[in-house]
Amino acid sequence: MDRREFLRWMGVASGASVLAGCDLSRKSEKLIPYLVPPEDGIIPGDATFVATSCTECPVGCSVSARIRDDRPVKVDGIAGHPVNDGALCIRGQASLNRLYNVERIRQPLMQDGSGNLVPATWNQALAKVSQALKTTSGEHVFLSGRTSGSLSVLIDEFSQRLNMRRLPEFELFSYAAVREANRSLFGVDAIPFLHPDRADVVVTVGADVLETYGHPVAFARALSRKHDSGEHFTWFHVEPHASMTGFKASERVSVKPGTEGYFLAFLLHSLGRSLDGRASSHVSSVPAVTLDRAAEATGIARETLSKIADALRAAHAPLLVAGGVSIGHESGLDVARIAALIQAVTGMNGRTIDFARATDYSRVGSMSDIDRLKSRLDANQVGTAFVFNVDLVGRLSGWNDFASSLEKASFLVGVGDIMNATLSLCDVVLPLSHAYESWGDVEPVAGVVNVIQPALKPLFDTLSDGDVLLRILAEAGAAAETSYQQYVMDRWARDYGPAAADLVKKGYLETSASAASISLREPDHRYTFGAAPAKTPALVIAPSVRWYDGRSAELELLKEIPDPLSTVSWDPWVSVGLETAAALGVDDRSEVEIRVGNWSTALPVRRQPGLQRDVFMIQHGVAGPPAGWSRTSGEANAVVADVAVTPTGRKVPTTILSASLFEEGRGVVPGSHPEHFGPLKKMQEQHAHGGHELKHEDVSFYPVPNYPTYRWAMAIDMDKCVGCSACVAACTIENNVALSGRDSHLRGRELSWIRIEPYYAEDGSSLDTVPTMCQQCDYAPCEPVCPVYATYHNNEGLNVQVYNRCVGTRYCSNNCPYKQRRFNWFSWEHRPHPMNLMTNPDVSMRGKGMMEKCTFCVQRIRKARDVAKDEGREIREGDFTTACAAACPGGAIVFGNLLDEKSQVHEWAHHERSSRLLEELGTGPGVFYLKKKGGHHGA
Amino acid sequence: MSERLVFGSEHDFLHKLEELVKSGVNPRDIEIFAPHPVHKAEEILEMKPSFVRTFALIGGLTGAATGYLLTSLTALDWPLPVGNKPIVGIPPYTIIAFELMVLFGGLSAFLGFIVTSRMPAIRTIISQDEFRDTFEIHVRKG
Amino acid sequence: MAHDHAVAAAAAHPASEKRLQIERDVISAMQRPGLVYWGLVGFFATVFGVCLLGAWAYQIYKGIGVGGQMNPVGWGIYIVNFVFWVGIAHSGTLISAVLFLFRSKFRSSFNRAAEAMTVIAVMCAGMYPLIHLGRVWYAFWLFPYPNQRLLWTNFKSPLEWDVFAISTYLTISVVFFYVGLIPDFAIVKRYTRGLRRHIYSALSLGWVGSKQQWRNYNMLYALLAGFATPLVLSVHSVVSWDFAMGIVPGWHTTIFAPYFVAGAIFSGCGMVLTLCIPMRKLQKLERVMPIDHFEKLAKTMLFTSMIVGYAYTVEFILAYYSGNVYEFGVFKDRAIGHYKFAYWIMVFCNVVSPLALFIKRVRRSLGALFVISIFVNIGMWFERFVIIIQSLSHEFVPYAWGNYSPRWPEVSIMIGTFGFFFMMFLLFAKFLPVVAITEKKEEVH
Repeated sequence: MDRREFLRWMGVASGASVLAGCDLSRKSEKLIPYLVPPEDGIIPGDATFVATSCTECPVGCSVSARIRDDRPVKVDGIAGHPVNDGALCIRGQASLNRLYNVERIRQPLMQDGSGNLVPATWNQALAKVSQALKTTSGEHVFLSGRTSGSLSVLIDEFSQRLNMRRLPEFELFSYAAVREANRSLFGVDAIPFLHPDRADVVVTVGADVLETYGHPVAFARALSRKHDSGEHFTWFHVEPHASMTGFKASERVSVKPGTEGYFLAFLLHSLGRSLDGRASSHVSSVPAVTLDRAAEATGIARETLSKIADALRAAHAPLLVAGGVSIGHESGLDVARIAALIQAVTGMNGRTIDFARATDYSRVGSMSDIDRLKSRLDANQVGTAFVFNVDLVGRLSGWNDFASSLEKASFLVGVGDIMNATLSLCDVVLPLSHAYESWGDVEPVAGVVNVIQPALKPLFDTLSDGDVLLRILAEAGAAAETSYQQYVMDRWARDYGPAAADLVKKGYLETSASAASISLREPDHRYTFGAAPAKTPALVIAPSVRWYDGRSAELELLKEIPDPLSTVSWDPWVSVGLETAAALGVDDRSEVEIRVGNWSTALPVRRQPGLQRDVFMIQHGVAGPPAGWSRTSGEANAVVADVAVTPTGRKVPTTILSASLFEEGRGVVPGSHPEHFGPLKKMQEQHAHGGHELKHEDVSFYPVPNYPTYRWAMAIDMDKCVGCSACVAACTIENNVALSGRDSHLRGRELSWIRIEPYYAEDGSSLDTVPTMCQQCDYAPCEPVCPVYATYHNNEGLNVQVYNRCVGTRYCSNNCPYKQRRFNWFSWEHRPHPMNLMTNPDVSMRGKGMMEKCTFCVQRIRKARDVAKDEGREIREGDFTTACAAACPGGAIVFGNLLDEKSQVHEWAHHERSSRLLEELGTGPGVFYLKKKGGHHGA
Repeated sequence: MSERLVFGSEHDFLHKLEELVKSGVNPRDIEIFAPHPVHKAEEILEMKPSFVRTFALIGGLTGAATGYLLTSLTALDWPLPVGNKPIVGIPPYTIIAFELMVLFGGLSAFLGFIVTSRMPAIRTIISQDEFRDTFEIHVRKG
Repeated sequence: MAHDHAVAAAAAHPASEKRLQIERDVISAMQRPGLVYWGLVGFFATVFGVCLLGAWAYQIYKGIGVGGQMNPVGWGIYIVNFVFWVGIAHSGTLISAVLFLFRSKFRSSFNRAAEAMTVIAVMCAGMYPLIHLGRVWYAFWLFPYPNQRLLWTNFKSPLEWDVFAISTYLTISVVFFYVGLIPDFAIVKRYTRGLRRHIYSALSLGWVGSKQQWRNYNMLYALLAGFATPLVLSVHSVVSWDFAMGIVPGWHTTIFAPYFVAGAIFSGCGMVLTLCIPMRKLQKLERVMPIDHFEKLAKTMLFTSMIVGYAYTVEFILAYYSGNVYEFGVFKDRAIGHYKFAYWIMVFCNVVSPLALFIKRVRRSLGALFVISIFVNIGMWFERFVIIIQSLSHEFVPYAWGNYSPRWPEVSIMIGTFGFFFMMFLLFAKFLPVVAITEKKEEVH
């Protein structure tokens, strides 16, 4: 054959081999770009935002959900909202982990007769429920958690039409003592809104205002505003245990568990106000407590007691609130009442204590109601019981036999989203859509209503809470078939008129709040706080910033992120004070047996600086003892006295992420060790008086980096960071950071890009929570050592990490002095459905063998640059910010262009309080830390 | 025609060699075989230093130059700042240059040896001439 | 005829008799191997295949996470082994090249075995940078080659220096080893028949020991020795700079280059003794490996042990004297922290046990030397363990401290490497002359 023909045959041969490479057995699919977008304004690759609400805890913060490709990939608060003003707590940030949880119940379940729950259709399940309602004997009951707005109204209708008794709503954190105190003193059954930003002296007794009490995000926001205002501000926090809130206060005071009544009584009587009438009789009805008596009973030093009393007395706008574990004992009602009295006497009501914007807990019951329910169950008086989106058995885990009582109901209908202890007992389980898949509304505080609207279509065969009720009603023939969407929209149209459109668009409506008139009623109470002081050793069961009352422990992201105080991530533990641990001869990970009466458990120890002698602490979510409840207030006990804690002698592998809770002489806390500051700064300070201007080349032979337009930098105000770890959750979700899991944590392989490093003073008197991430150093030690240029410095100041170039030598992470690089030890990028939907399409997934780290949200930088380029300008301050900065409830993190002299990060970076971590190493970090105004307590 | 002398000891061998050269035999007509290196023999035969070292020198210089050029030119081709260090850094690039100098120098020396010794000597391999234990002097006559 | 008489007369000379005895002694060790030998080779080959290749395949499949590396200790015993094997390799080159330049007499007993050990050890070492890579299938990115992405390697990175240094070292070691073998192959050829004879003949490149050949050979050998000496110093310096270029406290110190080089010589001496003492006995090489030579090696080992001990002391004292909280923190942790067992083993094996070599009787007792050499091997392994792993576990930020322990895939690969080493050394001992016959002959008068 000739040459031409040969080439032709060669072409065919090679073409054939290409064809052979195609898998023709697979159906080929075509990619056709949109000619007509599915909905107006939807452009693939661009995000849209939907306003809705968070339902992770009863507060009801607003949510702005960022939608990409038909599903939400990130949530933040709605800026300007009266409660959460653009921020979400760690649980709110992690709420997507509930939406996309692998354990979500995907269709209705029914008992099959041999004790197993098997899948069923809605028709089957609803038919079964209808039948049960008709045939079971006994009273039908309906129990839910706190509800508000349209859902609460619908539940009323539901209960009425089906002849059901609507039981008082169940919340473990029922605020029963506070409400009882408010009710009996002021006639108001509500939880007031707090305004610490209007206060100059704040005293919190047990109330974990930054974790779960009241509106934690709002409190953090208010604190932030207070710091910005520059006004003087002192905050005393009194608690029997050790909480994140306590360490954030100006001074944290340990009080013997159960003796807060003495403390408050002492305060009340030392106010020195001249009172008349009812106020006077109220105050006289509180037993007098002298300074000595208070000191002796509470264990608080005399000087401290005097200091607090003096501060309160001299305050112009004080704020005092009691709650949390301090009202969870026999004298809890006394504590709440005296606190309320102090509020009234010092005129806090209407200024720093706001009943106009109160939260309505009037339908929420207390443990007394649960007790009554239990009796009725045990007496076989209950017919069909609806347990509606509340894990009763899980929350009452201390009551071992509540589960068996619940089973005595003739028929149990459980409504929920993730299988839990309660649902597994039910005869029929109706799966609940997540709030982000539903319509509805919620009233976080009086005068504010948030919309709940779907950010995506339901992932599974589930219904929203309202739809479940309406379907049951329709099935039972008690109402016409309608959707909950229609129901709420009708209600909004009726109640808000044309403003209803605003509700859906803006996400919330503020209606005028009626100024409640708060005045003292007749005194009617005998104070008994002196009767039975708490006996130590005591166990305090504390609220958890990660899990609330334990309910959010279902979300694995909230186990992956460690507890800010102890840095324990996945495992349960018991906190033991330093002195107590030494006395018991235990160290971290030592196992101890905790025995209360007949109940016992074994838990590993984590030593907690600042936790007082002979007080032990576990968090809700860790299975606790039967704590009982106060007969006077109905509040669940948070303090269990007379516990016996004995070491078992074993060491238990525990997922503790921090190797040391102390600085160990290194200046890793901003402002703690000025002598560790680098030579440049020291010499500058020395030369400042001599007028000699020190130049960079005088102290370093490295060239000054030259950034043409942007130098992205971050600044963190240590006064504003409370340690809540919302930034960690936000970053993890924004950047598709994998959850490495318990086994990896045991081996020391965490993956989160930003972390909170807690450093305590040696004596446990103070805590610095330092959020750290890749410092994007000018002279990054990690860059020169990578043999393949997988990490280098770009001309905007970022230390870029090129995932697909990384060969995984891990020298970069060895060389990072801040240890902020994370390695993918396994293939963690594969997520099972539906967790694979919790991925941000703007960020690539990293495979095994690659190094990753914080990128200052480079995907957002890029997006902002695209937008700016379209508009023909540079990126401006305020165009975008990083996920962590956006999430922080305290506003502690700012991000921007350091070269822009008008930017906030420039201002903070050049502030007199500004410093950088490990400055003396000469790495030139791009993250600036503002040390605390009050100086570093101890070293 | 050649005269072949065989010796068992180095001493005898060197003695005879010296004798031969002193007696006026042209060193270039003398071929010697030895079971181990005998430096004195090279002196007696007034042999010039081997050319292998020139190979090594050229190889080494080439290696060093390659080292510096490879590193510097590739760094300048796409400057990626790392740790804000100079794009062309003499200390690190000297290491590469040094290693390549040794590598090229050693390989060139070996190559030089092969070439100047005309090895592999195929004929010898095939004919299976042996490397004996004896010292031998072959004098070419005529 | 007359010529044959002359040959016979020459062969009868006592010097010739001694030289031929050397030949016979060494080549008798290359007799047809028996079942026991093949059994051993098979055993070590299996260890290599299963423990190393098998575990490595498992690790590639699952990910580096099957090992014990974690945050902050990103480098585990793979890198410890890497430095260990490079150190051992260096001693071989030291004995070959450096002692050649110093014209030392005791070199000739060990240099062949040492060179073989070098080549095999460098191969063992060279596996580890690949084994410890997170994405070893892209290992070729570590070599600068022109590509479509216009990407080159980062020559400022110590790991890149490693690529060049180890490649150069492997190449030159192989060349040096081979060059030294050329005359010996020609000798071995005389004692073999058939296919073996052809192979040795080809490998000897037709060497006959002529004037031209010897002239060029001497020059080449001297040049290679001259190149290899600075190469040894530079390669282990480069390996030490893998650590010294990092800012990790305990790594970032200028003493590392000489410290590691001395340590390499030290550990290499230990390994040479460990290999040669049994080899001398099993292959009946007493005549060609006199005790005097072992004593000289022992003195070298003692000397380098003292340098290493000095380095330990200086590091510790300067860490204290510096007042630098990070530096002194890591050294305190070395002595009393989580890894103190490794630290004190290291001190005992490397500093205390070689002190026995001050006693002449110990130096001349092969049994004692063997025991001490084992201690040295262990001690030097632990020295690298302490330097690499303990320093990483106790860096700047207390939150990030953490402890590492190796897991089974890493231990398996380590065992497999020894399997490879001994398999190769056994093959060397049977198929190549274990003593440099030609150089030994030079000593006969």
